[in-house]
Amino acid sequence: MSIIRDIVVYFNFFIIFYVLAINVIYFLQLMLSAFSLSSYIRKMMSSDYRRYTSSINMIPISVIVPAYNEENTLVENVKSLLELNYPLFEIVVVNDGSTDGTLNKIIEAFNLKRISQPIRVRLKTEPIKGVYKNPELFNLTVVDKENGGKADALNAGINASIYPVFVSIDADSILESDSLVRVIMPFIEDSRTVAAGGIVRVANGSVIEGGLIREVKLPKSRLACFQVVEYLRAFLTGRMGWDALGSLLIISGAFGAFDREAVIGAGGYARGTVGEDMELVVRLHRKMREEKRLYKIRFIPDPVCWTQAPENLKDLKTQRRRWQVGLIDSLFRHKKMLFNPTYGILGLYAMPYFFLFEMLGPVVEISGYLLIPAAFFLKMIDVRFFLLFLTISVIYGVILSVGAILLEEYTFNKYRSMKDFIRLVAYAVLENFGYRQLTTAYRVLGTINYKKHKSRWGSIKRKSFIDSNR
Amino acid sequence: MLIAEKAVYGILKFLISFLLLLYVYLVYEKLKEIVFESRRKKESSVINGIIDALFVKLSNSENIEKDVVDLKKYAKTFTGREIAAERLMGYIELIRGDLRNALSRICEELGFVDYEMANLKKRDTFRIALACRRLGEYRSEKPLELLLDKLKTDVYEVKYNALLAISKIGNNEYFLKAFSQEYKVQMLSERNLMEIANSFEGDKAAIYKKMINHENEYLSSIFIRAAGNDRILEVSEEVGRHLASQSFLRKIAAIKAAGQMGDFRHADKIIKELSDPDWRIRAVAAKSLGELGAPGAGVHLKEALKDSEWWVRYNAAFSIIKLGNYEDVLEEIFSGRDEFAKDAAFYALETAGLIKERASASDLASGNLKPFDLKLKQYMEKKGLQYEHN
Repeated sequence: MSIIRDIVVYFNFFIIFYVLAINVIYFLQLMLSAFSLSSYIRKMMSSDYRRYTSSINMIPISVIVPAYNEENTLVENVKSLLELNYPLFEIVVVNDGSTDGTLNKIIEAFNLKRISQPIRVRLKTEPIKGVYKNPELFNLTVVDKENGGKADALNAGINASIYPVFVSIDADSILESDSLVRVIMPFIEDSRTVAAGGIVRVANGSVIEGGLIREVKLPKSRLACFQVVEYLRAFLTGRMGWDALGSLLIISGAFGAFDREAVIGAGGYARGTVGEDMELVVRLHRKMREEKRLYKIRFIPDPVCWTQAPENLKDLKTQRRRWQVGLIDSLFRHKKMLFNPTYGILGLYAMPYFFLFEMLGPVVEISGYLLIPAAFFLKMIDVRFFLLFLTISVIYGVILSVGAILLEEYTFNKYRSMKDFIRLVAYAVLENFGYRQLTTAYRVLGTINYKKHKSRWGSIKRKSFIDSNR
Repeated sequence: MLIAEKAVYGILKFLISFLLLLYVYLVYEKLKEIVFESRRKKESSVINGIIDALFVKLSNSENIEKDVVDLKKYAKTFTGREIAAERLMGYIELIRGDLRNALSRICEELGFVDYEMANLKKRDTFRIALACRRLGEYRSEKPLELLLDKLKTDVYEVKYNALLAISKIGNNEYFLKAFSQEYKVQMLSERNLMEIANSFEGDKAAIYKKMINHENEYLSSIFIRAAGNDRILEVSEEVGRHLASQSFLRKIAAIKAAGQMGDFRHADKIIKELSDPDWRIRAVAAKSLGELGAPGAGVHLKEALKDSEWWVRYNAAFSIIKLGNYEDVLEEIFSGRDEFAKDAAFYALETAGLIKERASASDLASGNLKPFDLKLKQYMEKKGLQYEHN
């Protein structure tokens, strides 16, 4: 009995310190993000980036779109990409052995013909079955290949692309028309930039016409609304804060720009992982640091990419499990960097943070949910103290979410109606009662089944963007 | 325990108050924004109306004194000044000559230039950068000395905007001064500097002539490329001199620029570069010959199709097509054994839509094909592709 008592007592202390530490970090990140965002907004006011939309001095960009069974969204997505406001870019769609009508739909929609484009193979991939083009639509190329996974498709896209910077985007996402101009600015301003990520927002509920976002609205689905708040917090406070520290470890696979030669030099996207986006960024950091090269990996808060958030629990579970597995895999592959001063702030702060709080956080949280009732039945817990502690945690969580909404309102202000704003704040409160615990549980499931799901993507049902407006 | 409990309650009270304050503040900001937007909308229509009328009067050489007095009244407030400045900057960007000078003077008269000059003295670097940018857009020569002084900073935003402003104002003397060593403009990226060079609104030929021969090879190469972008033929000879340069940066910039300028006098020199030991030079030379459109370059590009480097073959293939009369050159390639050269040539033909065009024009039924088409057909059959009418 005394051993159990000791375990519960020590665990309680551990939880208190753990929660204290994570909340201090979150608060500091919020502050850091607020300053960085304020600087960014003022910088954009003084910047004349719009002149570059028609400049011949821009860096040409290859937009790579890996697609696997995306017949519902791909054509709309490509249409939106063709509308991008950028002087010189190509779109490389890679059909990764889809088993549905993805290839036929895109061939039909853009009147493509099979051509014999020689591809310079710099990264090893599964065999290419064919390359399709329409001579009248010179900047669209479709590469059809054997199935090899997302990383393999991206590598094939890199091989087929011709420009020095590539942007990878998900087939279920759409970009705002100025996105490329903004995401390329770090490369224009500083030639040491090897990668730049943009903010990803939830498209559900917004009005999309002709492949462009015409009106930003909150989704009707409650599940998607929770994710809007979550995305705001993750991007506007999380990634912005990491960027300020020069330790950005994740550039979302949904929208990121990379120096082609730097990525090829690092060996391209790693196959056999579902977290290929994070893994590549960590590897770029690692390689640059090991070679003692000066480099920059940046997060730009406003080149907006709109993505479809899952609207049912099954898809949400698949997504969160994938994120967790990807995180664990990336951290394990680069465990050498953990607490290693050779990698500077990355080794001493960013990697340990992701290991202790992002990877183990869900496990600790769920353990708390299980142990606290046990402690209650064993009469080892001061109920009043526990309730106070719980209330503080919830209120603190709400403050962080409302803080992220405040940053959004202050900076980009995409949700302009008062009604949407009130709903956002309400969801920031409500997410602490159920949604948060649910996503934590999904992440724990990902941790438990890590080996099983290590290289499995899992499919999420996507709606056509035209349907999602309805 | 009592102290701990009090502390926890204290934290709780603090957090709840903080949250409420945050919420109230958010609502306040949202309401303020709604009010501001509606006020701005109203003022915009009045101020923009005055400026549009003023512009018409200026174009018809009518008296604008009253409009300027009206504008002055509105420009006293921050919002009014912002709206008027934005509209005037828009007009200034669109037009040239005397009308632009007149609008520039109106900006001075309304106090916009002085206002931004005062902002240059502030501590906030982004405010200074914005002031630099706007001063450039007003095109007034009044702040030139101050802008030059701002170039001494190491802050990227300020340096870039100050140099761009000097470039837009278009004063040759100040622009040349800006590139002297003390201002260290080399800290700006290559593309930034090219954009600035291309944005210069003074006597470009005179400036480029000097800058192309700048002792600093980085700056020199930027102006060589900028001259190519602008296709300023007056500096073609200066560009040509750098085709044989020992400096990699100058040489590669000169090859690109010579191609863009379309001056055939440089063709032989560029052809010579197809055999440079550095593949980057060979690739640029191959591309440049296509842009130049030099007759007789085809034979040399045919050899470049057999290059060991992918990019050289790729560029050579597209240049051969651009030059026209590609049949003779490519017939030999398709008769030969170099599969890489054939692939590159075929891809260029296909991308240009020429395979389809040739198939439609060929007399397939009679089997009376031209020698080139016959070779092409054989190549395609080997690759499992069809050479047919659609």
